[in-house]
Amino acid sequence: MITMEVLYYPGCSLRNTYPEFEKSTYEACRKLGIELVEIPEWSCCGVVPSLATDNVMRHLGAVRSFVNAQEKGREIGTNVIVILCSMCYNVLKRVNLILKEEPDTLENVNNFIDDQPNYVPELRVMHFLTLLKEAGFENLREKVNKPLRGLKVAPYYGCALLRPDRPEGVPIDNPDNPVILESFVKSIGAEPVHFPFRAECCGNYHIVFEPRITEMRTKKIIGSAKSERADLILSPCPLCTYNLGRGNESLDKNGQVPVVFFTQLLALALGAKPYLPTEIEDQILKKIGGKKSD
Amino acid sequence: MATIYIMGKAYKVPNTLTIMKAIEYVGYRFVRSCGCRGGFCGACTTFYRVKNDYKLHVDLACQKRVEDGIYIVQLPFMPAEKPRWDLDKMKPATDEVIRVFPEITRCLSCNVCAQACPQDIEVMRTIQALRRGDLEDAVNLTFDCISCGACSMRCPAEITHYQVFQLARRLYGKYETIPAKHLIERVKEIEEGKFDDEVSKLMDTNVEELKELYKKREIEK
Repeated sequence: MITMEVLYYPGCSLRNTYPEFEKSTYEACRKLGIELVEIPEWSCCGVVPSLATDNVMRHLGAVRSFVNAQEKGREIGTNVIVILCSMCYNVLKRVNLILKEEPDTLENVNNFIDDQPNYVPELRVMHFLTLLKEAGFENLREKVNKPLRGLKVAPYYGCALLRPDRPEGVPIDNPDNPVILESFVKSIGAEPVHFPFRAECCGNYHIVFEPRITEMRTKKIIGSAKSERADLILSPCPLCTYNLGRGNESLDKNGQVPVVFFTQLLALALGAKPYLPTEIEDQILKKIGGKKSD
Repeated sequence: MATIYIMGKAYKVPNTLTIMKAIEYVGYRFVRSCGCRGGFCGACTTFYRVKNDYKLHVDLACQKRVEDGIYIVQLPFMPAEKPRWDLDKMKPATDEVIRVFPEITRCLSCNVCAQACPQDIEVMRTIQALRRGDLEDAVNLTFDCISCGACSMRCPAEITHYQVFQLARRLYGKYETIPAKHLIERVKEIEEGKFDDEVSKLMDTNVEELKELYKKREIEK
């Protein structure tokens, strides 16, 4: 039963690199009664938010997506955009806040985009985790029919969900001591493992030109989770997942920790298809003593 | 009569002429920037501004009529290196297109490309469709592209859209569409040498005779 309709911005990484992130989310949302309405003709978010305050050109992709979302939102009666990818969230959230706070920038952008309706900055950009949190993790717990009991999960935040803390409102939780992923892990019945590198940077785009930097950093992150006996690392971010995967490749078998998207565990716990690699799903099921999903 | 400015110099021409005919009317002879004269080939891409309008417009010179006070310059050629690709070694997927043309990811969504297109193609939408992983959408949106390069001349991300679109259509055409039976048959006929004699005959004909043949050719009604 659909109880909530929200606008949904997928982003390029989900479409090109990690379809399992998106597919598992759709599966989970079906169980939760959340209808994700894809923003028509969404543009690439811009990937990296411009730090030059007057470089509005860099933000046009985000604004065009907002305009399309605004029009679709008026049709279905919502102003909430939900995002899964950490980087897309970070960029869209920041651009939206800038447009809300700076009327001059908004006017500038609206003047430039003269082939679409003006953007009225009334949309609410939200990460999917925040949506779950606002719906109540205790309510989520009630819908879980396959609790992942006994599974030790290391929730890895990365940077983009927690930083920067200016403009206010970008971090989805306290940037110094976040708990949202831990609360999520508990609500699906698993055990969150506290590890000191949970909010350290994975090395980000250094993977392109200086992969040894990402390798060095992700090995530390994985090693830290391993030493706390985590069965899995939980990631909310496509780029972190990619970098952690490369880190795992550089470690020997005993030092590796599989990395999954949080929505994959969510789908599994709700009895939906998690789009996990078979060996990882088997490993989890063995741990929790359950049967394979259909 | 209308006053037009060709590369800054004023001329008076009848206001019923197309840009192409107006340029010839004032005495220029085209050695390039002129092709089919029918709005298909994309050779006569022309940038212009009109009175009291800040917008830079683009049209085909053979299609657009002159206006009083119009400033005209033609795009003789779009400088771009054509990358080599091997369709046999590729998949019909957008990441293949992005691999050959990584600059696609620099698109700012400014949409200046679409505003420059004389064919009214949704150029930016197509680039974004490729980013979204939607090859089919990209192909359908660019069917009418004449590769004039006006979009690429205006693009702040320096994308050569028309080449990108060509690769997208070739990948889609090769792997995702049903092969045309008549085309397969015709290629076979050519390979078997069915037309070799006729081609050799043409090659041996002198220019005067060729001109006669051209004048008497069958024209599709």
